[in-house]
Amino acid sequence: MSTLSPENWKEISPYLDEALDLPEEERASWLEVLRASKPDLAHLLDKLLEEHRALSHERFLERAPAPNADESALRGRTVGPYTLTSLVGQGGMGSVWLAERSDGRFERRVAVKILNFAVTAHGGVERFKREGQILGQLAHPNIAELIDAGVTGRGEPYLVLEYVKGKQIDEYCDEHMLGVDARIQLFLDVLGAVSHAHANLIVHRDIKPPNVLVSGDGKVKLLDFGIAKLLADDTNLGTATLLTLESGGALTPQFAAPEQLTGGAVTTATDVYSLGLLLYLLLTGNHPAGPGPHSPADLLKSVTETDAPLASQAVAASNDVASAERRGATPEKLRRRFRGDLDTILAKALKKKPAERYPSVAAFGDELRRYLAHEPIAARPDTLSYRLRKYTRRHRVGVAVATALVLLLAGFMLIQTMELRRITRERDRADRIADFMTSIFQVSDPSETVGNSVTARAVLDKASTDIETGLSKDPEVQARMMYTMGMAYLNLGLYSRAEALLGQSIRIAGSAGGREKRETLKSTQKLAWTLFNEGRFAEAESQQRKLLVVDQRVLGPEDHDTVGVKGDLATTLSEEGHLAEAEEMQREVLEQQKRARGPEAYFTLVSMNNLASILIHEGRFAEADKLEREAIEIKLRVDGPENLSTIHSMMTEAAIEADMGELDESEKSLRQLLELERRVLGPNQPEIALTVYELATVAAKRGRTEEALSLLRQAIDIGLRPAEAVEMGEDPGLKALHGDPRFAALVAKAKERAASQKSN
Amino acid sequence: MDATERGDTSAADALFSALYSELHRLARRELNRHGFPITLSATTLLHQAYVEVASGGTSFPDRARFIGYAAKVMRGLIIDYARSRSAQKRGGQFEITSIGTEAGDAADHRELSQISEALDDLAKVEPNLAEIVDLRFFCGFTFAEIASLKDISERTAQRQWEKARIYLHRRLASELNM
Repeated sequence: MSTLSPENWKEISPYLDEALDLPEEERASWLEVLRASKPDLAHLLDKLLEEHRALSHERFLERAPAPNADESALRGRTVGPYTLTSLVGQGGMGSVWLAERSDGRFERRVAVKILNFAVTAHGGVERFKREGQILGQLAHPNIAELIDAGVTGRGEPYLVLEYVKGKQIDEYCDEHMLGVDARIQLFLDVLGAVSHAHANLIVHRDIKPPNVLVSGDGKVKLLDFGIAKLLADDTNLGTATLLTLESGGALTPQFAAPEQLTGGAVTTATDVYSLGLLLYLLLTGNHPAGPGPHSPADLLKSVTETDAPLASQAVAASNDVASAERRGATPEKLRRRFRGDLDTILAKALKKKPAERYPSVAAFGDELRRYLAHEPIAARPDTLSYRLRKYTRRHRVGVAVATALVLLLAGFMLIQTMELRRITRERDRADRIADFMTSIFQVSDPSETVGNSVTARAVLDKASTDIETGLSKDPEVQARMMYTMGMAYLNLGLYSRAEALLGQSIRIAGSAGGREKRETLKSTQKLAWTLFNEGRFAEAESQQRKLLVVDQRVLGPEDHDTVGVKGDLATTLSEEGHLAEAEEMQREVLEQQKRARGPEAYFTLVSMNNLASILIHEGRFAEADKLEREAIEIKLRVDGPENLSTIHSMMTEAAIEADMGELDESEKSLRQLLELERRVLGPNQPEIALTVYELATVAAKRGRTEEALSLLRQAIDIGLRPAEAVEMGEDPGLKALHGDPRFAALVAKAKERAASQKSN
Repeated sequence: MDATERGDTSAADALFSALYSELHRLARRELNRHGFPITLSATTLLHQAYVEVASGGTSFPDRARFIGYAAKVMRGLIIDYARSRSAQKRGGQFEITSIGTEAGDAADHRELSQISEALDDLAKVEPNLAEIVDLRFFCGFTFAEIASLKDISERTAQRQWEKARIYLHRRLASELNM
């Protein structure tokens, strides 16, 4: 065998073209004809074609895992009762042919998919056929029927499928310029098909636009159900990660769920994720990773680490007018359309953790139907649950008394005044109290003093230790003092101490026969509220429900304390996700407050705030926003801007703006607020720390990392409440900082501070 | 690129080495981003190279021409890596073996070099065929992608590939005195 000279090659090249274009079986007769006129050339061609067969067989330059069926050799071949007629498509995994029945019994045209690898594993052929039969039983109008599955004589598995003539769903939607609702409607058909398969215990595993076709009359057809599994089981592909299959085309990392890339269990939740991606693509026009091309590394990171940007933010960021037009809208209209419910629904379907997604495809579908019917959706906005806990804490602390220090002093003053009145009647008692008061201010241990001044905290600590013995002869006063100190600890965020003191106060008052006294009931309310603050929601709820019954009986349903307990219970229920009951209860509270105190009273406004929080939980941003603005307006009019409760409302409003993606407005509000707080509250108050913290989240969302880090550092130095400090690392608002070692260091520092605060 | 088209050899050399280092840089960046050895796809690298080079303001007549040229550069890169990998045996954390690129899996850089030489011969006779081999064998493009890149039918792309294989097979076999 010798190298072909350039001259030889040039002469033979056109003939080779001709020969290679012919089906294998026609080549011999073609050569015969040529041999008559050009025997030498025909001889060389014959040898070259034979060599071609050999090199194809040895897979020269195509060392893929198994024999790659030589496409031209396949044409006209029969596979089972089908004859391959023309090549429809070809990918790394194999080729798809249009085929007809060879026996002419049916006119039906089918698609035959021949896979590019050999089934060699023991029992592989049988298993492939068996699984194929199971898949064949999937009968659903929106699923392309799998007619047959088998293995060719050469060991290549093949699948015979219903031939579907149609467009990819995304292209179909764009061509028909379907609007958002119409796209969701069409997508619901896809969900129906997948749900049917799941009911038959079959997971698709590879849902992506090329597998979802829409015929000319608008009917959805899903292709390749369960085939990924079939492949994975019968080859060693199952152990390979998707990334290594990147251009092999078996599975598409772009549409893979995180667990498919990280080797986690593939379940129905995997399909929920891919369906979420598909809907995201249909609605926004882009993959969450943004327009391609993507390197495998970027994709891996995008799928496993980065949460998809909110759909509303994605359309705003790309600002693609042409793409919006294909949805009968403008980018701005789409942004507003997606903001809220659709953002929430997509985020839930696209959760990294399978357990956090919709529990089933059917639940996903129900949610979308609720959305289309303008009913409240079930999913809670993702970024909010965390932030909302902060709102509630803030308001509640605001309701009680402004800051711990104020409360501490007020508490002691209250007691003093209260006791002074009695002193005139009971000198003995007055003396005891006077002694006690004197003793607690005699803090002599130098470690408990800062410079020459005694810290309020040191006083409180000493008092709470002394009170157990100091006033035991006067249980009524003792219980009252313990309540006041418990409240002081509650407001300082030192919950275990608050819990102990409040509990003790209730016990002492109870054994002194005051179980159903207003003061004791109030202590019980605060104890339940302490449990709420510790995150022990179920215990808090149970105590609040019992207390509400007692309060209604003893104090009456319209009593201020009774209404207060009801409001607390509503907040607990909201935190537990029982939103309907919470909302109903909070609306009652609001009405009661309006009746009892008037529409512009402080507690009425607090109720409005709390109702707004529940509405946000329910994803009803517009209503919440309206309520909150109404409250701020009243507060500005009644109390003026330099008032703590006005400040609290403005904080909530700024946070709502941030969650709604209105970062400019949010930042502006926060800066105004900060200035106000510094003027009104003085430096280093927890409110200020929170506002600075909120500013940090806005900076983080805008990608201003340095600024965000510096603001966080300030917030920690000023003093975050333990609850915020502990959860800082998980705050979705700071997601942009994750992975930055400086952020990790700040989280550690915040936690350390929180721990030292708690253990004290 | 304009200079290349006029046949200015030194400009072509400069372009070759510029592209070579660009692809090298992209590959390294991908690796650094992760800090562990990953498998890179030549296809992806080429697309990325195009995006970066094109957005850098350099003018190329079109993407097809760029990719065709870059594919040849990629061939050199792959062979170099195969060589360095065999030299290091261990610790060679750099791999451009794309799945779908059979070349990457061929561990023996000498064999790759032989193919490369044969390919250079083929390029003298039928440059079109050689380009198809670069795109498919060294860069892992599918026939469909090659067809759309070169604006030919898939069938033509496939036939040219078969022809190229015949040429190369014969050329390599002769070298081994078969």
